[in-house]
Amino acid sequence: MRYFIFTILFFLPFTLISEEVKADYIIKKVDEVVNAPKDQKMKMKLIVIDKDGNEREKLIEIFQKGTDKRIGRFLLPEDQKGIGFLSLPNGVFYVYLPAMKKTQLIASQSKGGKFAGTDFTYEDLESKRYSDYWDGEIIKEDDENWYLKMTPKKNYRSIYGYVITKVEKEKFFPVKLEYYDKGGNLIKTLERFKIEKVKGYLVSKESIMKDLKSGNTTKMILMDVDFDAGISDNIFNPERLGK
Amino acid sequence: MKRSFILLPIILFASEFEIGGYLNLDTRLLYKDYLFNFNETKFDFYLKGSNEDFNFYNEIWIKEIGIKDFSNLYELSQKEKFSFIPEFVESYITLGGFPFDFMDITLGKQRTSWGTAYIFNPTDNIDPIDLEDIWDFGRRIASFSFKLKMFLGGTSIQTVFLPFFTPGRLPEEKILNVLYPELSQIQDKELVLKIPERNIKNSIFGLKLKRNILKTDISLSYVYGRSSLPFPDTIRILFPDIKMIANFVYPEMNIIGIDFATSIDRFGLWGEFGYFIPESLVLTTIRGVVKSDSTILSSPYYKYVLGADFRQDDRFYILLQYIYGFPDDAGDVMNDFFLLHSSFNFFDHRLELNLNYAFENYDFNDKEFSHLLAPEISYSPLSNIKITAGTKYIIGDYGKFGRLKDESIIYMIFKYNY
Repeated sequence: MRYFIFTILFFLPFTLISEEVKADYIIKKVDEVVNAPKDQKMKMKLIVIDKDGNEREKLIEIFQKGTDKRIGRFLLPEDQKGIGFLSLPNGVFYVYLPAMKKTQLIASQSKGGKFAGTDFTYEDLESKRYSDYWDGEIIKEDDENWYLKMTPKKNYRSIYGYVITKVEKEKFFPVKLEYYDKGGNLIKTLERFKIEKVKGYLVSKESIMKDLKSGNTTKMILMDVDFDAGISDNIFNPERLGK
Repeated sequence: MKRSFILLPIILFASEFEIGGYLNLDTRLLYKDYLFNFNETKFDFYLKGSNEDFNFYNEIWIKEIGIKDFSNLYELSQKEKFSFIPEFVESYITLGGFPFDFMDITLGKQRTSWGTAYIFNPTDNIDPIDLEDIWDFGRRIASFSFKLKMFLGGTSIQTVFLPFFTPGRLPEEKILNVLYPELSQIQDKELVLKIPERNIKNSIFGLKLKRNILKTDISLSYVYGRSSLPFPDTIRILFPDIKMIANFVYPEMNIIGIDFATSIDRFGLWGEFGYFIPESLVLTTIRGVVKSDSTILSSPYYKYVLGADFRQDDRFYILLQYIYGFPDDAGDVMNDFFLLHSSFNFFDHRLELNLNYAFENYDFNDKEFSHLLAPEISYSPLSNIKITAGTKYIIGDYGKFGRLKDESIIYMIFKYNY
């Protein structure tokens, strides 16, 4: 009995530590899967459906290099054509407004604002590694998925209080994200479907973002995607955003 | 014709095209006598083409101002009284990553938009001012220029060369008095322009360095150019209050600029400072045999803008800006302006309410004030259609706003994007 208690006491801290290590390991693996390509180029159709069922379509093209540089531009609808955004390391974020032919730096704490009438906030559009900004904790586990509670790291000021991420064990792919505000209220969900391999990289061809506050839903359909196309670093510059 | 020969092979090389634009119908009613004084139909069309190494962009406006004044029978048969005005807004070609990966070269009629402030940019001095529509503050005309951008690490360097000077566009004659109040008293005026010769000496050059340091965009700029608005250098009064002849010139300017944009907590902050070193300019006034000189420009002067904004989700936006010196101000006479712009969105951006206010004052004294109230409401029945109604109403007689008081309007705009 004494030997049994000793064994429990000896291994308990390791068990606790290993849970944290396991969560961090999962987040890092997720980063490796999501950000595996050297660069990405995609065209996406966004269907914004309001609570009354009215639909508006948008078309956006996005270029991403590595894990922390992303540039995007609206191709449709007509009144938003040319609106662009640029996400750079350390949370630096720019928006290009074609009507003013000007690029604007977005205040870091204004990133809760929705981008161009979608259910995506400026923060959602940022390109970044989860493991650099979020701490993880496994709150549930079943045969197929881990459920991680991700809270912003100390030096990262997110608009969210925490995010619960459902990660598929087999692929290390985040299939569902639940966004909670700082008061612990669920405000948004993102679900990813049709997860397929393109050029050896996993990608979700359809996803749905639901804003529980407004009742709006944004459906994203991947129209076109290419990986490792050799995108130059130089396009990720605010001076080139309007071009 | 020549232009299309140049563009044709470039268009053939482009792999992706985009066309778009808008139709804008703008009708304005003056408070004074309830006169319709503006009924602009503007058709905007752009064609953009690109491949990995280059892009071209062409944008044209076809405009008809609409309200025409006819004073005699013959004018009814003059074609120009009825014609549309086509205009190249921009037309340029960019070679990306040429001749080196870290360089872009852009050639053609293009806008060089510098500065971080809202609408009023003391460092935006490459392109000439466009005052065709007096209510469209801050509009500038794209210039034919050669632009080289270099991206070195986190620093971008931009050099711009305009081979020749293009003057700014002035508003219609009755509103010219806002800019040149001294001319308003005299009926018969002969106003002669001395446009700088189109030689290399009068070419315009600009250089800008920009870098993001500690999440703050900082730019330093220098422009060698000219004022795009003319200044009188000789006024000859032939018959007092009846006839005058005035010569106008475009003085040389060296302009040093600094601007920044950053954020503190939930607020965006920006500032822009322009230091103008003008060629000295003396106005000679001749009344009969009496000649007098007065200095208009001699020593350097500065203009600056400080602003902040705040956004609450996407439903509310507010911007405050202090402006020292309007775009057409120069020399010692600089007024203080304060601007407030707020925007409220309802029903998922279908309904938008903009409340705008500005005041003009001199050195924050409590006597010389004028105010501009500009509320506006927009409704979008479809995502690409916007119907706007609003007013621009001036209270007070002081300064620029005061001189524009009779131009206070109620307006209605219909905009269709395609």
